[in-house]
Amino acid sequence: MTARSAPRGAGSSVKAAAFPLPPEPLDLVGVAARVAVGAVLAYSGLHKAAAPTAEFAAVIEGYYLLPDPYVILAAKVIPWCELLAGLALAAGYLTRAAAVGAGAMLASFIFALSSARFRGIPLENCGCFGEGIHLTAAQATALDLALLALTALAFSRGARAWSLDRWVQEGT
Amino acid sequence: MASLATKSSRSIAAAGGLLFIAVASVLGFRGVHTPPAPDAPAYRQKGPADAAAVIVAYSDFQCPACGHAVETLKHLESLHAGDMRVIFKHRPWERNHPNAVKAAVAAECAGRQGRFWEFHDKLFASQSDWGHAEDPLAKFSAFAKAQNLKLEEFETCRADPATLAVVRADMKEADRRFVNSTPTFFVNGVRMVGARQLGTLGLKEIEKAAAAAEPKQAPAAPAPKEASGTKR
Repeated sequence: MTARSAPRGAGSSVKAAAFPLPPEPLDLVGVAARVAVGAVLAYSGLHKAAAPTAEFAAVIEGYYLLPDPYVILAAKVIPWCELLAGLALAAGYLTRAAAVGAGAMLASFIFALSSARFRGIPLENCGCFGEGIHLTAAQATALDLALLALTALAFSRGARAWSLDRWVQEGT
Repeated sequence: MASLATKSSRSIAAAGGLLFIAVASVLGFRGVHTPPAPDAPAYRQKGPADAAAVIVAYSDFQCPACGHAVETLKHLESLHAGDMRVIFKHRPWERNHPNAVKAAVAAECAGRQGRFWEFHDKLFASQSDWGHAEDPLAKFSAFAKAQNLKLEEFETCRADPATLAVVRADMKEADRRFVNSTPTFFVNGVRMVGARQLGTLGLKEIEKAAAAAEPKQAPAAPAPKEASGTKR
């Protein structure tokens, strides 16, 4: 009896350590950050993935960062990465991995925008949201920096409440 | 073990659910696109009727990128004059380019007097003159006069709502084909956006189509071995 109940008790304590109940206020802020970043990424990815590849390829060409053979490939892959990472973050699935992926994408967007500004490339529209929302390079950089900060919060506290990760972990 | 199995199945279910949402939302957002139709008034087409490559161009006379693409298109014509046919379609962006629809209507009227392409070139070459002019119509009349068009006929055509309807019909067609930016080209149905894609991918498509059409044009005389291995 004791031998059987001990592992169950140990399992419960591990679970409790991973997801303390009830969530602390900062956990809720983490969830809000996770959902906000996820929603923005999913929206921008959806607009670009649904649009013809040639259109986003033309946007990428405007940054003069990638050689021609990689432009179409990037135009096909990036929107789906954004959409999937965004949905995973919003739903709290593989939250930390999704946050790392989202952070890497946001950092690369900030690099591309800053590099275009530094090289004096005029960008009327950053192309971040396809034809959905038009932002200047400065607006897009500011948005990406804010999202990057929120992604850090989502990484540290995002999975502790209302997440698929939690639902998966509680699968006993 | 049971707990691990449940966790795994929940994890797979979550991943599958998210993937399903992603694919369904993209397909739903994308909708159904109709392929480009190579139909337009004869004056808006140039090149041989049986050309190997048909380029349908959706363009806006007030869009600077469309102006750059004119040079690329001319370069392609200089390389493959006999292999390509160009069909122009109007896609003016009224919100950002307030004079673009008026320019499209004026080009239509020039076309009806057989001068579409000359007027097209003039509009693109002088975008800065009329693009933000308060009275672009006076500029268009001056262009028409310089090209020896019949001015009275030109003005009557420009005031005719039926001419505007032709431009609007092209705009609707562009929307149905998901043309979200200009210039958009369909080279034998393959979509390209901007001068750079036209100059690289477009050139490849034209060369491919021309190479495929070559045997049809000279079926009677089989080429000697050396010649068949020669590439242009």
